[in-house]
Amino acid sequence: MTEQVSLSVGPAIEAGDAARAELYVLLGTLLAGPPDEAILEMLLEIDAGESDATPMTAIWQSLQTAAREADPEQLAEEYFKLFIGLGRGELVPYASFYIHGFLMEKVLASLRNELHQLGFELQEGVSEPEDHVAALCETMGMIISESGLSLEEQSAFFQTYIASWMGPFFAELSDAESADFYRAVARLGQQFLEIESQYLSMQM
Amino acid sequence: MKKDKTHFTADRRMFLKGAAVAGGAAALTAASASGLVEPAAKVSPEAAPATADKTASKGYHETQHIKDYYRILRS
Repeated sequence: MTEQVSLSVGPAIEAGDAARAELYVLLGTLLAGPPDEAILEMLLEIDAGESDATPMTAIWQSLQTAAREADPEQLAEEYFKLFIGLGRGELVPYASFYIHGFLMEKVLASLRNELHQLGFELQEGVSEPEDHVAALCETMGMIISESGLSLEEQSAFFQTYIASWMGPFFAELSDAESADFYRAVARLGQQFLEIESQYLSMQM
Repeated sequence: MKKDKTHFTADRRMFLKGAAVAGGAAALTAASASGLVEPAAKVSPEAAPATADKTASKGYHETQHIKDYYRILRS
């Protein structure tokens, strides 16, 4: 029996925003490390909808197919090759790298300042910088569910720390030589970014 | 059997903690990721009960931006 997959949110928020927040946290979870059996099982339990529904439907179905065929050991190897590697992985999943070409650059300092103002801080024992793709997805989920920021403010954070580099990141992930399961994750990320861009731009 | 909704009950976060979390995060059976697939069938604003209790509806009420979001998802 697998452990129950879980996610925590703060104050009650509207249903659409809860869905946005949860998808950000799901992406963060998938990008933080290779998914375990509980996560894979959770992916399979999502109702992907009818085949002709929306672009997201096909993407969910692809992700479910990838999850169904996934082997945890192979997933761990795939994750290692993509994001860690010997020396470095195929991708360097940090905003600083995509925006400035180096790690620990200005965008990270700016992000840390924003997180401080929001009252967010790293959990004990976390060594990854806050501009890791998974951390930023998690942060955006928290901003939606807990910060009380307006949609205009959410949009500003999204543009500065997410839209500014995650499009190229997901495109490279989709094309990465070692990507198999993560190709489906990349497509989910690409489509979701597009939806968020449209949605948040309508609020400006 | 497919679930209409995914039940999330505890903390999944790995990186950050925030004031709101420290203050007591609520477990939520939310729209879940699947809410982004068929929003109209699950949690559409139009389907919200007109007689919903005002207190209970604090976390869910019809607004233009939620309508906009569902319209994009259906496009």
